[in-house]
Order: sequence, then structure tokens, then C-alpha cells
Amino acid sequence: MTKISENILKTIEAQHVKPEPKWKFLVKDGLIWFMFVAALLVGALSFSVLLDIIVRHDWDIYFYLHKTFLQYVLLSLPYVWIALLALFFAVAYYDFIHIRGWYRHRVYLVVLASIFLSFGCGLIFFFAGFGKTIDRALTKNVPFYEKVKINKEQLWNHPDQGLLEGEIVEVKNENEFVLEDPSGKQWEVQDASIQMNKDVINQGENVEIIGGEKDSNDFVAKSIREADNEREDEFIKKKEATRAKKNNKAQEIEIEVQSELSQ
Amino acid sequence: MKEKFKEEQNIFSNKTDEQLVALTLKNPEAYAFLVGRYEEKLLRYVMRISRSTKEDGEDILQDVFLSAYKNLNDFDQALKFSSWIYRITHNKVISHFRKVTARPKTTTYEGDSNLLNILASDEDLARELERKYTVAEVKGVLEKLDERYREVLVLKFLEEKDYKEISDILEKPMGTVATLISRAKKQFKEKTEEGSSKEEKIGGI
Repeated sequence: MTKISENILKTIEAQHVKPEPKWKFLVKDGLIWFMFVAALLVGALSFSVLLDIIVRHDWDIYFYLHKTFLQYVLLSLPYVWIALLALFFAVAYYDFIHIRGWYRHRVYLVVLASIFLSFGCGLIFFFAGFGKTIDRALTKNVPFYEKVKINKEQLWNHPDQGLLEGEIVEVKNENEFVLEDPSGKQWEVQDASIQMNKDVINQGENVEIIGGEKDSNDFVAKSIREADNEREDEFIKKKEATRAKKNNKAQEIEIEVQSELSQ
Repeated sequence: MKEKFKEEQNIFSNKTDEQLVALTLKNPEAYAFLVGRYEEKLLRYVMRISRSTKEDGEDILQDVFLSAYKNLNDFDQALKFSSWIYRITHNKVISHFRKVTARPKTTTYEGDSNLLNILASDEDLARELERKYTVAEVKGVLEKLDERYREVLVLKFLEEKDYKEISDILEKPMGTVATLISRAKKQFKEKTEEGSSKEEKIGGI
């Protein structure tokens, strides 16, 4: 027996060194796999939110802004979600290179397959409505999320180009209200349509307006929309409910008329 | 005691490394035979890649064998045991020099006297070595190489490992290993050329 092997056996005996149990290594390997798959799934969820934000973006206001389409796209991208997506891919890659025997696989193929899988799942999650649900939940519960998500101020705060956003601070009458823009400036807004939509125009409401600047403090609105997506949904639901009620009433009247005619 | 050791030696000497790993898990004394098989090779490897003193090398080796013993259940059957223990050694050398910021003065392994012949057995390198460098000169060039290049050259030409084994030891894809070896050879040539042009200048003076 050599000096080194003798020393090692002595140390093993003296310090009661024992091989670590196999289950510990199995758990460790399992955890790394779990973290890899979880990073891909969370990445897929981020992608679904990203898609949802892009699909529901105010693409129509591009025509009002004096910018090239590329400039507009760069202004409209949800960079936080793009950064999160990149972060989850980085985490997935980090986990992957800690999987046992990772180097035996073609790394570029694994990376491509992971991206493909994550985007594929992201698309499914998007169509299943997960992206929308997550975006709503964050809007509702996380302060500043809405502001961080897309820089709406840069997109909407251009009264000279017919775009204005802000909070309604006072409703004066059926077609006039006072709006405070993000810089604190107050605007007298008149609705160019015959009557304002009362579901949208309420004090404290954040709105986005397409129209035109009349003078330094007056703005004429052609279209007013809710800035808060969640309330926008509720507004659409209310409208749909009203339409359904009207349809039902019309049907009832039709049935009544028909029954009277038949009598 | 000696008789018992001889008896065990008879039993264990015919076993493969992998069989000895399985036996060690039942009987720790079998581990002495695994250590015996690798201690010289690994000490040589440690000294070649780390340029440490023999004493430092032996300390690192103690650490390697203890760590390997603790992690015997983690031994990946898809690997050769030699690749696995070389990997542990590679990692221990790295972590040892992370702890010790200052590197020790260069020492060389006495067994490297045929270094020139080994390196010259590679066709590309042989051409570069036609000028008949001395062993000391080749060692000097090796020491000037970047660590990662020196290590792949040591594994390929001195430890005589194939690409798959190097890939398993360094935990790098085979393509990366091939690239590293190719770059290492290139840097080796550059350094030998640098050395010879310096010599010519000195000779000219």
C-alpha cells in the first residue's frame, strides 16, 4: 500500500467519512431538471403575455404619430417582458449546463429545441388566454406595472399630433370634461360626437383620446377609450350585456306582435 | 496485516475500476487499490497542469481522493472511471488556485524527460519541432500557453486521452475540445516561433 492510499484510508476511518447516499444525487439531478423545465415553462408564459400585449396594442395610433413604422415599433415594444423572456432563457441555459452529461448533446440543437418548445407552449398559453389573465392580474395587483409595461406616455402624450391621455378630473356636462395629462397640465376636452359615452367618462377615469388640439388648453375628441385594459374589458362586457338585453326585448316584442297578429 | 493485504491484492487486482467502485461501496478497503492505480498518474497530471510543487500536488490529490470517495454514488456509469477521477482532479486544481491567488514558482515533473518525443509524435507539432528544441525549451513554451490550452495539450499528448475522454474530463462538447486542441497547437507554434526569433536576435548581437 502506498503512502497516499494509506493516508486516505486513515483519514476515511478517523473522520468516519462515508459515501453520500445515492438518493441525494438523484434529488439534485431531479431538481436541476425541474428548474430547467420550469424556466422553459415560465418563459413560455412570458411569451404568451408578450404576445397578448403586442396583439392588443394601440397599433391604430401609428397614423397619428409623425414617426416611421420602425420608430413606432421600437416605442411600442414591451421591453420588460422581452427582458424577462431573455432572463428565463438564460436561467434555462444555466440549468441545462448543470444537467449531467449536457456536453454530450449538440448545444445549438438543445438551445433551438428549447426556444421552439418554449415559443410553442407560449402560443398555446396565449390562445388559452393565460397571457391575458397574467397581464390583468399584474395590472390589478402590481403598482407601476402598467407604466413599466409599455411607455404609453411617449405614445399618447402628443396633443399637437391629435393624441392625448390623462385622468378625468371633472365632468362638466354631457359633452365636456377636464382632463389632467401626465405633466399636470389641464385640458378642456369636448366630445365631437353628439353625446359622450357615459360608461367611459367618469371622474378619476384614465382615458386615451384621439382628436385634435383646438388651442393651448382645448382639445376636441373624436374617439375616447379607456386607458385601463381591465376596465375596457368590463366596458365591453357591459356593452355586450346591454346589446343582449335589447335583442331579448326585441325578440319578446316580435313574439308578442306575432301572437297578436295570429289572434 | 501484510498477508491480508496480499490476499486482498490478489482479489482486487483483476477487477476493473468500475468493479472496484462497486466493491468500495461495500468494503472501503477496496478503495486503496483504486487510489494505488491512479495516484501517480494524477499527481503527474496535477503538476503538469498546475505547475505546483510536489507537496502541493499531494495535498490536492488527498482532497481529490477524499472527494471521489464521498461522491462514489454519483459516479456516472456512462463514463470511464479514469475520466471521472480526472474530472474531479481538474475541478480541484481549479478550486485550489482560486483559493490561492498567488501561483507557486514553476516546477516540472521529473517524468517529462521524453516530453519532446511525445509532442513530436503529432504530425503538425513535429514540423514545428524539427529544429530540435530541447526538452527545457518545450516545457518553457508549454508554461507560456494559456491555461486552457496547456491543459488540453497535456491531456491529449501527455496523458494520451482521446477526444471523448477529454470531453468527459473538461465537461465540454467534443467540437469545443477539437477547437481548443487546434488553437492550442496554433498558440504552441506561435510561442515556439517567438522563442526562436528572440534567440536569433540575441545570436545576431
